[in-house]
Amino acid sequence: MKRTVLACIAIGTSSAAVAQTLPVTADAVFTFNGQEITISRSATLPADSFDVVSRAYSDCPAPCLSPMIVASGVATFGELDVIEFMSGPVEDGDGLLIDARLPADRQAGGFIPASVNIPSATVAPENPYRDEIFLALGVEQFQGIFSFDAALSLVVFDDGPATQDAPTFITDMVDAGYPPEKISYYRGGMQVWTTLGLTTQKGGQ
Amino acid sequence: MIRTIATATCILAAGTMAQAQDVRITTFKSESTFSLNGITFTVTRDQNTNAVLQGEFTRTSRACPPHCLQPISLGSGVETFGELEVMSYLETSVSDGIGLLVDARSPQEFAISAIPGSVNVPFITLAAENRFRPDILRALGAVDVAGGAMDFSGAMDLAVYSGGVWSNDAPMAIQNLIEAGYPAEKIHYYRGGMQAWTHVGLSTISSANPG
Repeated sequence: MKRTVLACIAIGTSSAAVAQTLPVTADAVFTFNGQEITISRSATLPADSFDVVSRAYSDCPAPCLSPMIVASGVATFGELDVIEFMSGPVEDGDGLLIDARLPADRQAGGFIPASVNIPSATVAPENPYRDEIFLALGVEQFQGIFSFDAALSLVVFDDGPATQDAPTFITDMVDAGYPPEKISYYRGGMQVWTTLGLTTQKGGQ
Repeated sequence: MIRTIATATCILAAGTMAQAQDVRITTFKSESTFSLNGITFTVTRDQNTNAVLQGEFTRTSRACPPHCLQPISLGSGVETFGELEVMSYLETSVSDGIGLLVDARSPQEFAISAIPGSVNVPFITLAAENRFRPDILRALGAVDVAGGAMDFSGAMDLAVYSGGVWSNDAPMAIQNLIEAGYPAEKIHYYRGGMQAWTHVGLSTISSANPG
């Protein structure tokens, strides 16, 4: 069986903030892995990312519209919540912003700064190495029993309301015992993030 | 002086028959059908998998203020809707005549494109300064009681939207309604608005007069 690798893609250098005429409310500045990251609203969407994120739809059945609530007890986040999460738990090392898409999607259209890539398939019950991902998220294991007390808070996103990577990731995690109150769903995903002109990043590994 | 703007005329398109459905609403649902005032509406998704946004809703960076990002929840007990919840609401509350989908934008914006089955109540008409506001509230089912107050127990459920996540038309309308005494549990907020609706290729209607 092919081993699925936990690809925690570290963040590259933060891009310098451009002319900031369009504040979110105010720019959010925080550090992640020693890098200072600024989230602002840009005047224009980079042309090379536009094609990917402005596609109005993807094929169904796999990616269909997601409901507002994807799992009981899992909060749905808006952009302001995501930004607050980044400058709070993420910066403090208590939380992770997770991009549940495939690495190729992340490369093609860019991603939210300070997010790490954990494709949804890697937390599917079929992945025999899933336990290692749990350990990396702060889950403790003793004689085959998991304790999620010290596990990180997670905010999970994907391409947007019409894709199922994040909902699948979240339902698999909840089914595995991850506490729903430690997981939140950023439903708007890349589609809404970019149509608001918020900072994105490209490249990395 | 603010004048009442006539609420709402909906124009409709005849529901087009769905053909092969590669782009469905959910795995088990390819269209949403509902009726308002005896007229049947059908919402589907554009079947062109290469379609991209056009026009107004491709804009990313409207100036803030006034177009600032709205929170996911407006608080005070108002529930936030996504697209599936809006369609379910249209199929049940609106079809049953106990709810309205309210477009809080200006009549000009509403005329260009709007969600099928919605009615136009510009947020400004719900402001306390509008002396015709009680008439609007009565039209929504509020009843005058002694002492100049209003009883909203029989008032309609409302789901309110505007241009998108960056628009405060809908939040303003909701705030005005709550200040007027409208019960928060009867109000819902479709935060994604026209931009999110069109971004996933859902049907819209246009009542713009070409003349």
